[in-house]
Amino acid sequence: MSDANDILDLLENRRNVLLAGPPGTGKSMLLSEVASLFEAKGHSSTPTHQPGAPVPIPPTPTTTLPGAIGTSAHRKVFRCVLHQSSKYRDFLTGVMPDVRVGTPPGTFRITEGILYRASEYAKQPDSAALLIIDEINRGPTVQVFGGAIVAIESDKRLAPDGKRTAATQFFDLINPVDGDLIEYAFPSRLYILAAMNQADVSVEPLDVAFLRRWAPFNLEPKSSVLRAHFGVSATPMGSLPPSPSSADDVSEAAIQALDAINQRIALGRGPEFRIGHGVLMTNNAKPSNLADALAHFATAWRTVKNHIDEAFFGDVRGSAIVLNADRGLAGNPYSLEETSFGDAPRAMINGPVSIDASQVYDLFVALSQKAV
Amino acid sequence: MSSSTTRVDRLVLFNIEDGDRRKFIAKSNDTASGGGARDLRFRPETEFLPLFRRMFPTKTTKMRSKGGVSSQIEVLSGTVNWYSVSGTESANMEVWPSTDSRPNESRLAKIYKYGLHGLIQNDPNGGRSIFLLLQQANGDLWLYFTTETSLLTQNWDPKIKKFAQDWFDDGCKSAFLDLVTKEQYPHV
Repeated sequence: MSDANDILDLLENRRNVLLAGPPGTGKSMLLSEVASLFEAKGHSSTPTHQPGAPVPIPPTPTTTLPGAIGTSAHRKVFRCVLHQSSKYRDFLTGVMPDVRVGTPPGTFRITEGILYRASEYAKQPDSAALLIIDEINRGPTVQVFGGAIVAIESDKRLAPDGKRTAATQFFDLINPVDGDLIEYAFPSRLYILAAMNQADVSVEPLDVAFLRRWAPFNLEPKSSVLRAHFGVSATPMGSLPPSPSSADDVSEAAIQALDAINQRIALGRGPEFRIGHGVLMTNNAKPSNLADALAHFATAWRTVKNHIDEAFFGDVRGSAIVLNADRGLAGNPYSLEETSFGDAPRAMINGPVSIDASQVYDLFVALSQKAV
Repeated sequence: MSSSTTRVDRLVLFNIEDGDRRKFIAKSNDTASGGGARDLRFRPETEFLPLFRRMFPTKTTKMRSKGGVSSQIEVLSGTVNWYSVSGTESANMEVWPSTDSRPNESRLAKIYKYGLHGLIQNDPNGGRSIFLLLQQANGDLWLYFTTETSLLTQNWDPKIKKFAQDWFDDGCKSAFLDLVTKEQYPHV
């Protein structure tokens, strides 16, 4: 079963799923895949004629979708990205100046945030809503959810028929209809899928109490995805040819290099700082000949190098170890130099600012060497 | 009826403009002469005729004469069903190929014969009035009248909504979606 189907199953069981993984592991693609399946926009959707109905081709419940998602005749996806300026009123409701054309100055209105809209959609009969929140740890997450933080839990929702249960958690909300403060709870068929990258320097760790309310789904860098994409089979470690004779040789060297780099990053900085396979699959390109492959991977290397520089910012020795620059390997354009600043010992990495196509294969062979 | 028979395989949408409304009551735009003025025209024929061949199962050869010259043409036909105030109705409808004077236009012929004029829906927001012809997986053909507002805002299947949106964005006169061959016009 695909990751997207696994996530849909998890959503049906837990209602809230948190997708996490290093950059380039396919989170955004997976979000789109889940969204497409949820709305049945993919091949799973089979338009069916209901003769004489006011809308003669209504949505068809997709039986391949799990549980209440599959049995809902109406499904809609809501998407947003959390950022540092995100506010509670953007997610639920709140008061903000009304600057719309024709509105007198000094007027205020009550917002209907995206979580509120998704919730209201899911409260309609036979309806289900999926809210996708990308970059959930890039903003003031706990503040944005406010009092809803407990109410999103699957067992704190309203019953499937919309009635309250003994466990339903209500929270106060400004009602956009009349401005009154009301008690509000989330419907059973509201599904929330969030994604985050734990390793970005501009994010903060999420509150543990908040995390507890999500079912985790973790993505990892996968060499197998790259081998399938480039159509190469695994070559035993250390048996790469001294010079490439085909695009496949370069692809395999790049895959082994990325794998070795990720092992060293995981040791030095933590597994969440690894870099995903997507970095070598830019624009879904698949080189057709040796020259194309060298050019393609020379470009991709720039992104890998930037990631290493960012992850090990201020740690020259750490960068050097990841780049195998401390081992004096033939063909490696990077080398670690021990020097001094006054009396203080210093280390620096020598090497080109960018790697050209003629250097990239030797670099990958050198990077693929693992310490024994 | 099982869902396997009512599955929609093909769908045609046609924008009914003022001139087209008169065709449903056999009045030409300019004269009462009829002819092409009584047919719904689908262009380009290179796109629509292959689709109509898949939708209308019967092929007959007829003679068409113009300027004293007769020529053989292939006419497609099939039973089309629809709902009216009195219930389900059906009729044998024909698709005729293009003429010299109107090249590259297939025609759903003599549309005035079926008493459909009163079924045309006016869009509440001034949008398009739409003629919809669908073919089920069992081959049955059904026609409906709907509106742009309905297709965009009401509870249509997401694939149909997306198809309609693509058509509206393109702005051409008519569109089709073949869910079996995965062909679509206008191309997106």
